[in-house]
Amino acid sequence: MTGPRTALAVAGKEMRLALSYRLSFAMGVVGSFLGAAMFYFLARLVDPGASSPLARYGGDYFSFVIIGIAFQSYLGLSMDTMASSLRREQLLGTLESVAATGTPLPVFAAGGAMWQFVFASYRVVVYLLFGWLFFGLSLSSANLPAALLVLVLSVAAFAGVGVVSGSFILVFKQGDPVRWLYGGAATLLGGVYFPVQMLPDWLRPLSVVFPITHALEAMRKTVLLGAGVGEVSVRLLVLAGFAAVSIPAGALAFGWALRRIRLDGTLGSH
Amino acid sequence: MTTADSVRAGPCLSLQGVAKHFAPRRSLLEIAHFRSPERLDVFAGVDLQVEAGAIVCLMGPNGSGKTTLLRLAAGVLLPDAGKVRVLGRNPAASAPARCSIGFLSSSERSFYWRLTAGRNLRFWGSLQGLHGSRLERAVEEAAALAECREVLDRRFENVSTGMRQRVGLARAVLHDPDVLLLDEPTRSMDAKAAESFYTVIRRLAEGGAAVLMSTHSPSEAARLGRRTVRIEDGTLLEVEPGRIGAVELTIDFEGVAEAPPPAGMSLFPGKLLCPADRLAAALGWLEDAGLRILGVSNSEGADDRA
Repeated sequence: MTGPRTALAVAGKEMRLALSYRLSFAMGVVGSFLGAAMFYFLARLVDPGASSPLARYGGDYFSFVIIGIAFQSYLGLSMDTMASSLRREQLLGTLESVAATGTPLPVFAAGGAMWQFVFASYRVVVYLLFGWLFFGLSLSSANLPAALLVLVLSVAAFAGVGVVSGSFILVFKQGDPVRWLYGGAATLLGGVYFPVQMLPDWLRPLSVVFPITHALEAMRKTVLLGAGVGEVSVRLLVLAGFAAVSIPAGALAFGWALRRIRLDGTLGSH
Repeated sequence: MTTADSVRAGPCLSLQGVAKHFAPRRSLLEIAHFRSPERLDVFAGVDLQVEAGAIVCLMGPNGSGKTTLLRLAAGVLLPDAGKVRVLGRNPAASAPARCSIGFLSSSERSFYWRLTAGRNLRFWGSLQGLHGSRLERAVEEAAALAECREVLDRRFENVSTGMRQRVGLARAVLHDPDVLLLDEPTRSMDAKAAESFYTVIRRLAEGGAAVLMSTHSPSEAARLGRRTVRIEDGTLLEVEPGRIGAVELTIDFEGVAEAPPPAGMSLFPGKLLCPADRLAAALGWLEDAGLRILGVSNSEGADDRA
């Protein structure tokens, strides 16, 4: 079982490289505080009236958006981590040497993802901590086991899309349409900054094709309203369906991309 | 050696009928004008076998395909036709086959510059399946063999160019590979360092490793290679042992050459490299091009001023 140990070694290498840039690391913490503060003051502009679409999430915009942003960083990471890990190795000039070792590239990318998830968790905790300490965020009614299940299924649904995205990066180096669609469009239509109920009637049906819509809806209900698994079961089923389709699609796309760049000789090109 | 003896019956490294071409991607301008960039044929179908204990030197002018051949053998590049086998397995598809290869890339960028040389070696060793005390022991032994122990605690970015080559060699040998693929391993080394490098390579071959290395130096090939192969126009030609030292001559000239040099010769500003047996053709080409010949020297530094 050298795969997990090798993945851990890759995660350790990523951590050491990240910590070798100390200023960037410190600025990330300050950035989290500034982000939380900005949304706190923005939230004071939003009137939580009884008829507001926010009412179904408890009526507090700050809690609504802070969960959206914190959770989006996980989902964005699930989708982005493989592509960014491979891209970084291409730019460093190490990818070809990695491919010449006995470690398969998916195991290598999974190791990079492990560190990214640890780092993202740390950032989410910092975000929530600042929200709780300084801006009155309350998580007292959160159903944590249900939220954890939502998180795991969401990450699985996004990871498959992320592998497809990584395949594009391997072949085209830059300009990834999957990332553009699921990163950009999903942020607008998936309800990160505002409830999808605020979208125009003709646009709202489009939001259901993005897994982030279902993931955020389920996460907000479990964290802000304390909903149980049964109350978000439909959303969980949709996320499981996304995972069942996207993970095999990702595996196929990655296999094709790897063969293509090994034929083209562009494994180490950027 | 890392692999079972059962798969060691044949050659350690084998290329059979390997063909490779590169078709550059079309630019937007070429797409708009329905043009295709020129296809570059590197190999038309070459065969090469390297047995356990052999040291095969690969020579040829710049762009002839030495690095491409090594990348094909390492499995990071796929052939368009033919088979590459390492201990009977396809290295592009088999992780155990890649674990039995030590690949010394010609690029210094294949290391993590912000980590120490030691951290780099531990990391690359773990990618080859070494962990715990086995990994620590392998790093120690490889660093001692490659004579780079004194830089293990130094960030790779602060290590000298020649020493980086040694760290590269340590990386290539730390998992005790059956096949060593070395891309111009001594290019940044002084004569003394290169000499100790040859000793290491010979010792590894005596231990049973099959070594395939590229070099531009005929003297290096003559001293190290029990077999030398020259790449010329996409084919592999065996070079007789007695002729290796005289393989390449350097002709210094004055002026700017505009036409491409004859096949098998390499042109640099003020220099033309040519096989010794084609000296007359090289001198004729320079005269026809109106260039003033300054002198001819061989790889040992012997000089014959015009």
